[in-house]
Amino acid sequence: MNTMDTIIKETTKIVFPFILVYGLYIALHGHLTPGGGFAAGAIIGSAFALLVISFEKKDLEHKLIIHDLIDIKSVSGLLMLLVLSKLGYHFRDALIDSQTIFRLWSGGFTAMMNIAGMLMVATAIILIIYSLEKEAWK
Amino acid sequence: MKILYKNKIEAATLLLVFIFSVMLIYGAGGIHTSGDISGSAVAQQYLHNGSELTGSTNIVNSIVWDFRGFDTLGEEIVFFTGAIGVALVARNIKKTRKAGSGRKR
Repeated sequence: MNTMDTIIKETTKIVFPFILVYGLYIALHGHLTPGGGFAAGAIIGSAFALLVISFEKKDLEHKLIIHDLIDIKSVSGLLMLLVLSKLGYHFRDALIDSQTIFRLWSGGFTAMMNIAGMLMVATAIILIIYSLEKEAWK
Repeated sequence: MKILYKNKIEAATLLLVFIFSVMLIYGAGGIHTSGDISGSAVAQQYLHNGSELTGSTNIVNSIVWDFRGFDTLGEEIVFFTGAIGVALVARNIKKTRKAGSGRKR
């Protein structure tokens, strides 16, 4: 896996945080603009895919501890977060009453679900990419 | 019939496929054309009262994550199961192979 040259590596270093911020923007504005949890999670997962395919294993291991970040336990925790946020629908009316429409702080339950879904989809995609790439690195 | 199909199961399967195709084509005739919501009470409810009921102005997102949230939760669970399955297949096999194959050494 020593194929990627310097241009790709340096470009990835520059572009990677911007892709993360863009995915976060898509999730946070999911109730106002097109997009949402699935699209944001896919964007963040694609950022990590770019990182994984452009760097080698020894470059990544000390920069970003993927092995601690992507554990099955963490994905299960995010799924639990999703289930909990789904169970918290008793508070949706009070939440919507306290918000004004067309603002960033609106959307009520939809906004929370977007963020939880983004975390869920992103970690699932990162888990898939990392576990497949780990096989290739061996 | 006896010449075309070797056994009765094949003939019955083809008959079932034909019946379901006819039902699908018949049912597809009842779908409203795009933009016409006059016949669908659910679509009218979503479009007229959606922003007040959910607080979000993106109506597609409010349908996916709020009105049909349990459906989306099921989708997420399916997606999660797929990710876990990939991780299970492509995990570090070396360790388990070493532990399992004691009789080979």
